[in-house]
Amino acid sequence: MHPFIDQRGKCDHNKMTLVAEVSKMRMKDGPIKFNKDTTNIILDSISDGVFTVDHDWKITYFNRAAEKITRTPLKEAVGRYCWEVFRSNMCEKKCALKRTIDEKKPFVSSSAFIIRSDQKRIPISASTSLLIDEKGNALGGVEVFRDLSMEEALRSQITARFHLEDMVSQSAAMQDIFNILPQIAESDSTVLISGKTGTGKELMAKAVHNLSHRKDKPFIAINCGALPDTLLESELFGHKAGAFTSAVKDKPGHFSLAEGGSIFLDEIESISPAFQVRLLRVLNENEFMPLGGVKKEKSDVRIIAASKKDLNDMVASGEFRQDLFYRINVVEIKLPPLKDRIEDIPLLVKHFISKFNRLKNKSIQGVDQVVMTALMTYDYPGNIRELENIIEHGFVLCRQANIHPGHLPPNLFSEAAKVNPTGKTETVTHQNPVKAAKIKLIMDTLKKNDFSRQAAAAEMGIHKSTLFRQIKKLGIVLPRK
Amino acid sequence: MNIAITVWENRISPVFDAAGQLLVARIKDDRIIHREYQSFDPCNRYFLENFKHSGISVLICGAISKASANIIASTQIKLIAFVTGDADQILNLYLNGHHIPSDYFMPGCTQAVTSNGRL
Repeated sequence: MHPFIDQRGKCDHNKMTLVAEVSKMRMKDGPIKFNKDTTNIILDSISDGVFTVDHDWKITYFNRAAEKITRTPLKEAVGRYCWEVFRSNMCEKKCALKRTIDEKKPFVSSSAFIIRSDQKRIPISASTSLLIDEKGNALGGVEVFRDLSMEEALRSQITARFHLEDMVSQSAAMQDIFNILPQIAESDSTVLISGKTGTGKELMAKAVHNLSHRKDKPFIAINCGALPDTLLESELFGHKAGAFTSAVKDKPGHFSLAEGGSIFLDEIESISPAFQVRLLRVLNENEFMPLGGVKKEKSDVRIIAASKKDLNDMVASGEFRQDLFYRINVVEIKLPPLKDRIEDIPLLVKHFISKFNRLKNKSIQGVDQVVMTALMTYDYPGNIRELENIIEHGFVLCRQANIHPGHLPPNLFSEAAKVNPTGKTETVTHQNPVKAAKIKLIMDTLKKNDFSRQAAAAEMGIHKSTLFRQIKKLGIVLPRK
Repeated sequence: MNIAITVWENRISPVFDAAGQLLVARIKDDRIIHREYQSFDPCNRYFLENFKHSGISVLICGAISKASANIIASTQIKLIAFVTGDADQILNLYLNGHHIPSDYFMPGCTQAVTSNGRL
C-alpha cells in the first residue's frame, strides 16, 4: 500500500505535508540534517514496520507501524531480543538481519510470516540493512517489514475464481461453465456431460450434485460401460430374492440407494439398445421395477449422464436412441480437452503438486522450466488424468525441491518431439523446448482463429507485427489462403 | 510424564510453526530422569502422532499459530505457548511450580496460556 494512501484509498495529507516540508528543506539547505524528533515523526508516519537492533540482538527502536503489525507495545518491545518480539519463521534458520550483519549487505525476504500475540499468522515481506552511524561504525541492523495480509486476501480471492469444487481452471471455456454451473445445479434438470476421457466428467458431475439442493443426499456413480445389460439392470434397479440363481435375498439398486440424491451414469454411450429402452422408460415415468419384482417403485433421483463420444453422431448413425438422447440432453456441459486449454496447465500442475504434497507428505515446490515447457507442449491424449499421473510419477522419483526431466516418464519428451508445424524434420529436444512451446502456442492460436493473424495476435495479447516477427524468427510456414 | 520443549540452541524456539528441534524430558517425581533431542517438523502432519508415540503430556513452546494450537488442543496435551528464555531454566521452573512466571512470556503475551490451545 502507498504510504500516503489509507486503507479506504484516501490520501493522508498530514504525511504528505510532512514530506513536502522535508523536501523543501532538502532543496534549500542541501543534504538534510535530521534531528531525533524529525526522524521519529517520519518513521512513525510510514505504514511499514521498522525496528533496529544492537549487536546483542536487542531492540533499540520500534516504530508505530511495528507496534500495530506485531501488536506489541513499544514499551514492551524495546530492550527485548528481536525474535521474542518479531516472532517470524525466519528468526531461527533464515534470519535476514543476521545475514546482513554477518555479510554487511542488505537482504530482502518476500515470503515470510510472523505470529502475533493473538496467534494470528501474518504474511509479511521484510528487508534488512546495516545500521551505521555518522562515522561509518556499524551499530547493528535495521529491519523494515510490511503486512501483506491484504495482498494475500486479494490473491486468495483471485485463486478462488479459478476453483470450483475440486476443479481448477482459468481458461475462458471453463470459466463460462463455472459461471453457469450454479444455475444448472439448482435447476434439477437432467444433465449430459460430454468430453474426452480424463477431462473431469465425474468431477463435474459431483460439482453439479454438490451445488444442488440434493447435496446432503447420496451421489452414486456407475460406469455403464463396465457392466453387461443384466448386471447393469440389477445394479441400477436392484433385485428381489429369487430373481436369478444367486439372488438369495432382496438387494436395493443404485436408484433406491440414491433416493433424493443424484446418479451419475458414466459412459452412457455404451449401453445396449435394449437397455436404452428400459432406461428411457424409467426416466420418463420416474419409477422402476427391480429385477424379479412385481411392483414398480417411485424414484426421486437426479440423472447426470456422461459420454466420451458425440451422442449427436451416434444418434445420426442409429447407435443411440434419439428419444433417450433428448431425454438426457436437457442441459449439456461440454468439457474441452486439455490441449485446448493449455493456459490451465501451470495452474493444474500447481494444484496436483499441492495435492500430492498433502497426500504423500512431501514438500516439492514445483517443476523446473524444461519440465514445464514439455508439459505445455505435450498433447495429452489422456487429458487431465494423464497430467495428474505424470505429476504423480514425478513425485515417486523426485527427492529434490523441484521436479526435473529425469523424474518424468520418457514418452513425455519423445511425444513433445512431434510438435512440428512445418512438416520438416525439426525435432524438439531438451535443447529447444522453449522454441517448441512458442511454435505450438502460435500454431494452436492461429488454428483456433482460422489462421487470421490479426485475431491470433489479439488473443495472445501481442501486436500483429510482433506475431509476424515471431512467425518469421521461428520459421513457421503458414498454409496458403 | 514427558515434557516437550521446542528448542533453538539452548533457548525456546521463537516460533513453534518453524521449529526444528524438540527436547523431550522424562519426568518422575518432579525430577528429570532422561532427556533427548529429537528433530521436529511442524509442517509434517504426523507430528501429533509422534507426540503421542513419545508419550508427551506437556508442550512448552514459543509463538504458535491458531491452526497449530488447535491441532494440539484436539489432544490431551497441555500447551504452554509464547514462552521465551533458556530451555533448561524454563523446564526447572515448570518442575518446581508447574507454572511459568509471567516474566518468561514473550512481550505482548503476558496472559496465562491455557491447556486448550488458546490464550
